[in-house]
Amino acid sequence: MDRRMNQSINIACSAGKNFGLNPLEFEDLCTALNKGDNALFEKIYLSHFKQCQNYLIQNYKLSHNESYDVTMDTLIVFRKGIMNKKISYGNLNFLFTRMAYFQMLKNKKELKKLDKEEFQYLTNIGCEESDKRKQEKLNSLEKVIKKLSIEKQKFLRDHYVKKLKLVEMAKLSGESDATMRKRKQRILAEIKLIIKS
Amino acid sequence: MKDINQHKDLEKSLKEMYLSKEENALREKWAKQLNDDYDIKKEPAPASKKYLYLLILGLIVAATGMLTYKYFTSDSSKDTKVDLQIAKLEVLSHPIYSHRGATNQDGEDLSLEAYNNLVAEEYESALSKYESIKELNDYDNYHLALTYLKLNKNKEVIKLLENFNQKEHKYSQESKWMLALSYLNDNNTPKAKTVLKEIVVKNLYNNKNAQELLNTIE
Repeated sequence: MDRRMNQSINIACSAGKNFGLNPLEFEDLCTALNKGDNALFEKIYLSHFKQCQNYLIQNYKLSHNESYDVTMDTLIVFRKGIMNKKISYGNLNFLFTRMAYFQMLKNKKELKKLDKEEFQYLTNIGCEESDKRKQEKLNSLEKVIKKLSIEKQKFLRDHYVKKLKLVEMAKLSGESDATMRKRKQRILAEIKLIIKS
Repeated sequence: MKDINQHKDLEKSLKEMYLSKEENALREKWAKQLNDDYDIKKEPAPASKKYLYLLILGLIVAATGMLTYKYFTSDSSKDTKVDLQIAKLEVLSHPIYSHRGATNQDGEDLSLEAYNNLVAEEYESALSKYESIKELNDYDNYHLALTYLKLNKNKEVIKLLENFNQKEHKYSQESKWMLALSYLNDNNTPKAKTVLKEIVVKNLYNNKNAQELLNTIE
């Protein structure tokens, strides 16, 4: 364990291991995030933003703006990890600072194989390099979605953003499950058709 | 089952796309919250040295270009044309009439001497004589203005001719032309344009030259 990791643990211990949350509160946080409620997460983690920035500036000599970007990116990944239950209660503070460290390496394009393995071991989250081409692909897909009718766009948002299951959507609209499945298939087929054209 | 597998990749991309959109929105929202509630914000990025050098180089090139343009185009052309027209301005002479300056006892001689000095391009002497005459007539006023102009005393020419031109007189047309040149010499382009346009529209003395100067200005 290197010197910086020791410092990271020390910071984590001095601030409390889990950002002041007990296991039940952490469960509540996870549930709230999955319901689309970010308020609790924001209250806890934005208040620790400066602390994380200072940690990065002091230990890795990052500039103010670099530390800002790394901390922001870490918050995004951390939130995703909690929502997907890939981050579990234990020593959240330490985990957060380690994630910030890996995020810094990633932003600097210095992430090595061993770092990735440790990151995955700690968080159980894949740590892929951000791919410019992948982002371009997603942007193109967004343009395609905008070509669909408003109803179809709403259908996709309900299903993929609000994470409603087809059964739930069927109940809400008073239609059958089969109709919902077919509708989804037709929308996806239409998207593919637009992409091909 | 086949249908589900058929769209598996597309579904994955859709999930990623919506997640990416959501995360971008969150970044914006959190940045605002950090700024408003915790006074944490990104600092404006300073220009790198490379860009600073490029900027300086660009400014030098632009300044050189502008100066070159100014030298070779309209402004210099305008200045040259005005200077030429001023140089062409001469005393009023007529084959039939003799000198028509002040006729009072004190002024008659001074007026003639001043006129002769002006013809001989002895402008300082002409000026001192014209300024000594108590009552200048229109003929003298025109030549005093011309003396000022030759001495590049534009403010004085303008002041004199603006007063002089308030009423119609025998040399109104010539005075208007001189006033226009004085405005141009004094870099008062808007007023010069007004007078030049009047000369062109009313077909006054030197209207062709006035039109040419107008074209240069515009």
